[in-house]
Amino acid sequence: MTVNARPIGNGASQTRKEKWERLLKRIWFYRYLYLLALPGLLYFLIFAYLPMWGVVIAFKDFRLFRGFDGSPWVGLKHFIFFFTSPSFPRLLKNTIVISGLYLVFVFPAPILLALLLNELKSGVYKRFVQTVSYLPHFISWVVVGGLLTYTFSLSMGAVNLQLQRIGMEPLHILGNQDTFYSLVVGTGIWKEMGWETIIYLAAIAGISPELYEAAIIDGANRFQRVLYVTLPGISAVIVIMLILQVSAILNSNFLQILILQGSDASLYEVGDVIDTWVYRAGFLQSQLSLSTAVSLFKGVVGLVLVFLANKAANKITGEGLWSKPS
Amino acid sequence: MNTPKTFLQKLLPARNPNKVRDSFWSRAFDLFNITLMMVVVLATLAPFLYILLGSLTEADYYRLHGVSINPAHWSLASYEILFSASSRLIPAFRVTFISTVIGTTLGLFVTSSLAFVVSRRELPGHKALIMMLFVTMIFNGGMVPFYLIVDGLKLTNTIWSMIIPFLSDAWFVFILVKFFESLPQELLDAARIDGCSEIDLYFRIVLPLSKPVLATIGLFFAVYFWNQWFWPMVFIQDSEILPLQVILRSILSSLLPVTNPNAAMQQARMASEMPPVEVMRMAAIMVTIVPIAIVYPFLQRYFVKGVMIGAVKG
Repeated sequence: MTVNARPIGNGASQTRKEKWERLLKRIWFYRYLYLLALPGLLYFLIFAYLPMWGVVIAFKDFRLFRGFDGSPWVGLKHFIFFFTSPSFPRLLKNTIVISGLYLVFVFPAPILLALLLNELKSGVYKRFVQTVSYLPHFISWVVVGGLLTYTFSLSMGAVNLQLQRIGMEPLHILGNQDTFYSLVVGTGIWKEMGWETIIYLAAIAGISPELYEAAIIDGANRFQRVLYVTLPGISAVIVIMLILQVSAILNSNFLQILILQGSDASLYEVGDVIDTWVYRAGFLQSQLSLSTAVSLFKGVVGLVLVFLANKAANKITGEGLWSKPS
Repeated sequence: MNTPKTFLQKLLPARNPNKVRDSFWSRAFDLFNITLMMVVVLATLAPFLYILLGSLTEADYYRLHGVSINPAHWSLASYEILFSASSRLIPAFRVTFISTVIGTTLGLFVTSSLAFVVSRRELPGHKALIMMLFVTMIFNGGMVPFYLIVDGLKLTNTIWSMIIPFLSDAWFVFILVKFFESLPQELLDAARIDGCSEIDLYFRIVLPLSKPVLATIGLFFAVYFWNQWFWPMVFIQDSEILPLQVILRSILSSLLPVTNPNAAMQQARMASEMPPVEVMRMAAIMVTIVPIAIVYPFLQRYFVKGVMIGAVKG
């Protein structure tokens, strides 16, 4: 009974007033659903949308004691200050270099691992490797920082203690400008490679077995099957993941960089990125408006990149990155 | 044909009679691949094993030789001190435990109730809801405005600042929506005919049917709350309510000793046997990792499915 009672609009012959009444009736009919959505809606309005409105302080000289209304408008002052400061080219360069390294080294790692896992013949061994490889995804960057110290530090890292024991020169890996990028790439791969294989393994599992059978009949060996069946089978997923990665080029992994930098200001030259700078300006130097201006700049560029990426994905795969709200 | 198989034959994979026997190179690759995967496993686990061994090594042995792999030189002294009354980790552990439990529970409720509503395509405003969530995935106000909102709500310097601002995420909502849409609609219609209200439907039919995906999202929330350190570091000054990861970071960067030194000194027996600071730090790292390392393998089949639901299309 209740099912049939759901009001259904049938368009055409309705006047505007009738339409409104029907809509209101439908809304009233679903009032309990709206009530159920309320906590979630409030959450997003307060913690996602209010801060978006809060970016207007980027155009003010905002001080906490003056309050929002008491702070004067200053137009583009903070943007101009940032774009003409010597930090700007350095931050942009470091951010893009680190993202580029992620793209070239960290991005392909899980694809390669997924392909290799897929070639393992023992299901038990495969599951064991997978389970272990997920572990680093579940630990915090704080812990990763701790593990790094006890693995690589000069005085007490396992690697250097061992090198000393066999009479070799210790490796200066932590807190060293020259090795910072290697460290970023290495820890990035180590932490997320296993976790990211989930998506690729799912895509591989979705490839029709008939394709493999046909390839075998055609005389394809294992390597050729990977090259001509598996890889093309997951190429759509790879392209989408790649485009997402490109569109996030200004989002260097903030927490990772913050931990790897530690309190070592000598690393800022190579390792300071937009996000870490925004953090220091905002929370350590209380330049609230300047910090907001820089994160707004980053957000807007990011937005443009996401839309370009979606266009590219449309062209290449025939589908967008996101489903159109239907 | 149907001769009973020996145990060994059962263990080995059945040989496909149509298939040509694996070539030499194919078998060589298998060997290489198995070895390489073992290297991946060891590279993943080595730092954890080293920390575990270090945390177990006796104080005197560690001072002379470093970490020991010989159980004869092991002791639990570092863990005893870590869990003693003077430990700084105990209160931090409590704070993190509370925020993880409350945060995961509330987060699951806030996120899944919204997702249930979003999954109802016939609802007026359905498209607007999806747009509203989607926008939060591609743009945010940045750190300072987020901080100002949390501060304006008088949440800073309370345990709630670790929980309330992180109760949902558009990505989680969309994963749940996908799952709810796949539930058998006849079942929901049947419940409606029996006079179930929409709210009843959510609590009594939808939630019990969604345990696997709730386990996934619950794990994501729990991991987030357990590992949270950046925002608590910004929001909280009162050292009494700092969570585990923030305290751990201070301990690791020598800003804080593992135990309250005055209290530790009073236990004079301990003063001479106090393990070196490195051993204490390694034990502190272990204690932070272990709860999650124990839980996640059991939830593996759930979260693999959950990630797949989310990956099909965002």
